[in-house]
Amino acid sequence: MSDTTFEQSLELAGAPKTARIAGPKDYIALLKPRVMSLVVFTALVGYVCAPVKNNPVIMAIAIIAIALGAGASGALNMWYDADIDGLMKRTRMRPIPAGLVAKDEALFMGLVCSFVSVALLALSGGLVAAGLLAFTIFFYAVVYSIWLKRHTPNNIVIGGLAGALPPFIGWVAAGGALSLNAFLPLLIIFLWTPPHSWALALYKASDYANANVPMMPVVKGAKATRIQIFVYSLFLVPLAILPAFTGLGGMMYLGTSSVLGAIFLILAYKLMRSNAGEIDGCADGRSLYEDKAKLNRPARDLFAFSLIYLTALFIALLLENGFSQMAGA
Amino acid sequence: MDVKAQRNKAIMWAILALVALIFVASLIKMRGG
Repeated sequence: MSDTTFEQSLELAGAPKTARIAGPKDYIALLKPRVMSLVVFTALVGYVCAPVKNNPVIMAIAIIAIALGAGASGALNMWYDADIDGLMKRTRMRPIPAGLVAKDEALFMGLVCSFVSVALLALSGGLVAAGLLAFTIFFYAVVYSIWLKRHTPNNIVIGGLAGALPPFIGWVAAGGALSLNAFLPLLIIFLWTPPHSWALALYKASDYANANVPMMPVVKGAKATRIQIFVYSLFLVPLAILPAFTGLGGMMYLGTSSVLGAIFLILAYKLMRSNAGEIDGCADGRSLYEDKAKLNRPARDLFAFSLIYLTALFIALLLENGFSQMAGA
Repeated sequence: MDVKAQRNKAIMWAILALVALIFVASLIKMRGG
């Protein structure tokens, strides 16, 4: 599709045309800094949890490499998804659909950042870690964005692997041997992604439907999605407690994962019993949380809490393993 | 190429130059610099 046709199609779809001139922050936005910060955090936890003595400089470089890889994935995703981003309220102000940045510039930045990130990780974390990072970028940009996202309601279930891999890459980059503990943080994020994403999709369903993205609530309906959220939560919560018994987490982790896990299950159960997602409450497009519909509140609650839950689990791992690293240094 | 497009290209190259700088600085640091 040529750029002219693309811009015309956006205009026809009602995408905003901004008079603003692009600035550096619009190019930074292509790298999805919020996603990047989550990736930095989870990769750091994986790196610190690996039972090997770390060199802080090499660790910082490896984490920068993984962060850059996440940025590259973001730019490639924005390049490919520009058409549907322009159709969704939540994403229509992204730099490409807003007419600020050209599509080919996002593609170029994505490819350059991919190459640099993989090369940097090869040098600081080894070839296996670099290979895993290359696979993750490929999986997110090609398997998820190009293939799964527009074709199956299980898009975020399978695509969630890309978001789950950073702690594993961190572990491998640190030189940790493969064990159950290497995979546990990956599995936790993998099982956490569906309840997290579908809680949001429940009250943004019309946005996805407008863009023909077959998210679970759009294809299977709100009730089936609420049940699936609860079923995934039933697997997630015990799995998230498991690290306390495998030596990965300690007492603090056990307390955090048990208490917050119980709250997660309660919220998921309340959501299942509610009618959230039955009406379109998409009051404000851009905000992840703003939605005036009271009916959708259980979905918003679980979405917001899921972020707190995962962050708290990983902070507990970071604190416990970070301190033991320092004690061993 | 219009002024807007030129300005955009300049911003993009500045960011990529920063990425290259991070890469080179990391290499120097890893070699014990």
